[in-house]
Amino acid sequence: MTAAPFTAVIDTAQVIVCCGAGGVGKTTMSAAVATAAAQRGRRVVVVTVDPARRLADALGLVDGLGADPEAIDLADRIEGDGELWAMMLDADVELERVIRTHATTEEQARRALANRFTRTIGDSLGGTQEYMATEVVHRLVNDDRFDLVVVDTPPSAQALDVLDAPDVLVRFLEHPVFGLLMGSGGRRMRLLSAATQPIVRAIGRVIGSDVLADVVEFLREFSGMEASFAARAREVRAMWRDDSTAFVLVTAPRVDTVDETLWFDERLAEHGVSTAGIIVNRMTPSPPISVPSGFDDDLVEWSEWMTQLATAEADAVGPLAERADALGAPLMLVRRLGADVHDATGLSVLAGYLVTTS
Amino acid sequence: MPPIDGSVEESATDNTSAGLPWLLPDGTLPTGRARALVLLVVGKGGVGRTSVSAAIATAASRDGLRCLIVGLDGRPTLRQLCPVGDGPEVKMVSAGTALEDYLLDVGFGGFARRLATSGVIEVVGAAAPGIHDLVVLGRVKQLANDGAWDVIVVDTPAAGHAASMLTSVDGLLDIVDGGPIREQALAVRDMLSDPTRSAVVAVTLAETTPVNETTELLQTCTEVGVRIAGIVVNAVESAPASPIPSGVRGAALWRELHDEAQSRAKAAMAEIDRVHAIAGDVAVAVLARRPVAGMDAATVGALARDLAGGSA
Repeated sequence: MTAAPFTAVIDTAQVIVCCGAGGVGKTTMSAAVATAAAQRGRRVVVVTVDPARRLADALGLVDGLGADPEAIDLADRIEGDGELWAMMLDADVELERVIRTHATTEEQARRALANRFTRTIGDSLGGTQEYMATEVVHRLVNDDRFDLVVVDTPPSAQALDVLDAPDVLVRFLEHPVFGLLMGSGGRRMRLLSAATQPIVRAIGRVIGSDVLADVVEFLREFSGMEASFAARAREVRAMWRDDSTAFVLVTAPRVDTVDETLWFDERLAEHGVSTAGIIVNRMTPSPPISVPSGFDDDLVEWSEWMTQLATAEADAVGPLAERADALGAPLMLVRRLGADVHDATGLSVLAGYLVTTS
Repeated sequence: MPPIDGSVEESATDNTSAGLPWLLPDGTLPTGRARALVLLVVGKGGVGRTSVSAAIATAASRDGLRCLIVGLDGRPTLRQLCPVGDGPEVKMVSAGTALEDYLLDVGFGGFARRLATSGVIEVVGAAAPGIHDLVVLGRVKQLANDGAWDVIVVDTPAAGHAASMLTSVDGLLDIVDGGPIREQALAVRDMLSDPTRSAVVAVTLAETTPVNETTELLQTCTEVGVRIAGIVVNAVESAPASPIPSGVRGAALWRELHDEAQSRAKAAMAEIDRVHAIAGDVAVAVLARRPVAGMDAATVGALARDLAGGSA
């Protein structure tokens, strides 16, 4: 199958989700994808869910990024009306926004935010960070300032949670155990009913009664918000599966990383999402086949070392090429550069590889 | 390319062992210990943490130590990276089953199973942040007290997670007022804060972001009171000293590649200097990058020799 060029993706998508294993340069590549789109005239916002400063570093921002989009100066590298914006997900800020959105009264929002469990939920409930990411993307998609949202996700295992995230909190709030804790009425605690007593006592024995009291209090604060959360979950689920959302896999030319990428591609397919492109980052360039006779021993050793590495990497990437071919999706091999990318110039170089190779 | 010697500094003893003493509290091999020394190997994704874990375990086995290597992420790769036969024993510990196992152990009996199937475990996990990390560390502590091993090498999850794993104990002690989880947290804290029982080995690349993350991780270790046994700078590339002679065929391309190699090697040296600066008295080992796209037991064996500080 002939692959559509990657430019078709960055020219038309409304959301591009960059997924991949840890340590493959995903954050930098997200910024490069966003740069490429901005250079082609789109108004792009790139959002990172990575708490590390990688996106800020890649964009050359010494002061880091905030929880609101910030315009990035690409100087004269932009065509037409293109713009590049960037922001970082702050889960705490976002949680507060979410609660204020869904709360029925200001008093309910205040109480929910004051709850100790609300404040620790980000660490404790798997997928909370990802849930907040979906909220941010949903908001940015509906923001008139932008026509493309590029999302830099956490490493692949958790990235799947981005797809599941909208359902996580709903599932949590509707968990049968909480039903038990809350009593069938939902509003009033009936902790001492005969049926629930052993389970409640057991939980209390394991985690201590204070924690349990906090959880029950948390559920009381959130009761009434479930319907609003569920409605949003449906919208976001539709957004992730919409044709205008493109999932791009970022990977490295290593056997284990390639395996993880193929595994992830299968999981995406199971979620009803197909991969729109695969970017292999940091490919070692092959040196010329013949080593010049004038080379000193250390140069000969170095060139052999590099040839061996480039060959091993090309072999490792083979299965990805096959998969991309079967998908009809572009495969971009991005050459390893001499230095880390930490400014607009470096991003432009990477962006150049993305729009010219396929 | 000339290999970079596994230059290990501060290996304080004249012990002739294959590679472990620099990671030990007093530089002597912990043979015949009643409780195993636990080495938690930490590092962000892509730095080669699993390979280095396997190399440390391989070195320990070569030293004649009874060594166990524990994987936490459920990936089967660990087994393929360790020599078969007289190599380290490999074991997987999963957060999901560790809590259930623990509840069974502390006398919840069949009730633990009912809790698991009813979804209560999931809820307990969500209610007390870090509880899964705690039971995993609790399981490691249990293995260490078993007496069957001298050294236990733990391949921990990625750096951000490793930090929360270490802080989970204090976090839980703050919020859980009683019960078996609190007892477990106290026991795990005892293990982590005893430098003769446990220590962290940080793995990084000679690149800015991983070194920054290592710095943060080491701060967390200090705050939590965990001994830092050593820092391994992995996959370092060097560049040939000789210049590309003029007039050779393809000189322009060769020069471009050569310049890139030089600039990467220079940046790597600067990062290694930063590692030394943050390391203070902590030992630092530098491992050369291998020209491979995947790891196997043979390559790990070579890394293990480099860790020893001698040449392969």
